[in-house]
Amino acid sequence: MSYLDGVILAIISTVGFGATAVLAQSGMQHVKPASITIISLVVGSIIVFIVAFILEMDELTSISIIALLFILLNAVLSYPIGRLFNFIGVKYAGASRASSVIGIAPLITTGLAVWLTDEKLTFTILIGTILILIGITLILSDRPIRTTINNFNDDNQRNIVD
Amino acid sequence: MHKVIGKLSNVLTGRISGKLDNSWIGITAAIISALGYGSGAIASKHVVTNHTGPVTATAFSLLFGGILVFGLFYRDLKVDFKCSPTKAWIPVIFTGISASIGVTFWFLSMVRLPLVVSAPLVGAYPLVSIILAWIFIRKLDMVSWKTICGAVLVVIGITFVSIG
Repeated sequence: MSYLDGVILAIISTVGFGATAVLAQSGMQHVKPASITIISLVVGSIIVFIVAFILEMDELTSISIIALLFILLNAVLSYPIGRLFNFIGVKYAGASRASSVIGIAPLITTGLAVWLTDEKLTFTILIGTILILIGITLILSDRPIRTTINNFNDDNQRNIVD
Repeated sequence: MHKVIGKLSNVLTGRISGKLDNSWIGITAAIISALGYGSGAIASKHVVTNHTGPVTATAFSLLFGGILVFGLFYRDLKVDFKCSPTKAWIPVIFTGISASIGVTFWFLSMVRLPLVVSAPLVGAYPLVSIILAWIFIRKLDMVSWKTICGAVLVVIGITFVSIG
């Protein structure tokens, strides 16, 4: 595999991440964010387990309890908090605005790394942080958009179920 | 406990009354999401650096996440299964597929590219969201110039942070 193949893989990844919010917003016309989160995690875990079986069979079969505990911590932070609120954000603010705000996640990681592990805050990181803050301010100052047009009404739904 | 989870579920799953500006609820949720993803990445980095492979870690993380969210919100899923038309689940399933493509190909690209190249490329995904939203769901999500400019600045900023 060449350098160019790596770039193509990264671009496919970018399209995958980018499409997630748009598909989620489309799905939320009928389905609640929590349900989308559950289904997306189930489908995602099946696909990634298949890839793990192909690429990392040894790691998959010899995983330690400590590793599983750290993965559990990551799962708690990334999915009931990260992905669920991601989809709630998409529902209320729209895919474009929510994705742009969620894009600041690497800044949070860097900030925590600087705070917890005494990593150095460089001039480049500082410039990046200022640009992100200006970008977020622009997005926040934008006029409120229409939220997702839902074809369902929660009260109606409950009546149907009852 | 169930009452607390029920109340939390009400707030989280969109039964909030119209008292608050929906847009601000969305932005607040997006910021909480970024905090979740950002802090989760610290634990993730520790695992893939010291304990196991990135794809294995992601697979187990998705599985644990699915179990956790199912445990908290299985009632919503039950209601949605009963009330939503079959075709409504197509974009939902594709949401899971596209998210897993994002994660898997990101890890695969990291093996072949230096971080200074892969991080900005993958970090540009909000721009892809904007383009796809503009093409496919224009009626649901109106994209403004301010949002586009803001997203471009966020992507450039993330590039600087990733390189720095």
